[in-house]
Amino acid sequence: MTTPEGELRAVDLIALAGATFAVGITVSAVMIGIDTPPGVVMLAAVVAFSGSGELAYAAVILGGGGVVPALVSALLVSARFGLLAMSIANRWPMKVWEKLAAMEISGEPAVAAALIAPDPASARRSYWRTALAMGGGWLAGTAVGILLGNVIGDTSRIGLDAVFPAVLVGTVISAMRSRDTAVAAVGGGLVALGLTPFAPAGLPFLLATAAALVAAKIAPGPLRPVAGEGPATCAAGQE
Amino acid sequence: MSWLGLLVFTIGNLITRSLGMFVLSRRVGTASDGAPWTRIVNLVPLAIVTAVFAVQTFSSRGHLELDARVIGVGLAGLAAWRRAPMVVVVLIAAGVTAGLRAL
Repeated sequence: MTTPEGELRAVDLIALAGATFAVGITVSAVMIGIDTPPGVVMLAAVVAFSGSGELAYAAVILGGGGVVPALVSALLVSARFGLLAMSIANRWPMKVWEKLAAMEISGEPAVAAALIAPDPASARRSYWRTALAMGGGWLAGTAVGILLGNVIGDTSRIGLDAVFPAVLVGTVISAMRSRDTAVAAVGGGLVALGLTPFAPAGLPFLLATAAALVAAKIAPGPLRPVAGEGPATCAAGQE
Repeated sequence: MSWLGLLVFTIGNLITRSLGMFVLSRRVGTASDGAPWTRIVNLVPLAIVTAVFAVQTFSSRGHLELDARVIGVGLAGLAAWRRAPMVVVVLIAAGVTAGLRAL
């Protein structure tokens, strides 16, 4: 997935753009399906930049809930982007305009790419390459989804609901490089799943960060045998 | 979503993102300073990535659910573990999930 330095290759960036394109199509179809004006769908994609937030809104409306709880749910699901923005804020030197732009399109894969980069300059490059690829795909997918929405119908029939989780699992596997990151990742997933049946949507994402508190107490020893050689070497050795 | 809803959604989003970028981050040092708080913050994204992954894979609208998506994403994860390129990972997820649902 990544080079040993953690840089995504061009082909991976195209795949990420394709994945968010699919997400954009899905979100557009769902939002149009709950009678959202196309202009609102497009503008929401540009200014709010949160497909999961829009889907959370639609889930409440489709479940018979009101507009206020739907908006609360959308904002709660999107609140994690604040925490993601926090964790890249000091990763490389940024002027205010860059901070504003970076927080606007902070997505999980881009933040993860910035965190595993070896130095500030490559963190910046990895972040923007990933974020712009994903953002471009997302906006294009939204636009195409607005035009096609009713033609595709239920996008889960063609497996599009599996696309973003697949991007995330790929991201996690690239970023889990030491024992502490593995504990944070696995712990975060378990906390979120455990809370999902009880807590309002979005809150499990925020509370999952408790796993980072525990993980920080663990020594960041290597997860795989050959440290520094990069995971690819180890994977080849297993084959 | 109405135009008013969009306004609320946008402003709320800007507030939470700004809180993280401009307020919470003040307590965080640079990546290499080794301070305890910085270490925690550097691990936060990993916890969030798997939290979102787990919820989007194993649940639908607030209840846990195991369906075709779990198998599609599971095989995609296996491919990612074997260093498959992202495009293969994504195509496996969508293809397997769609295929199982078509059965």
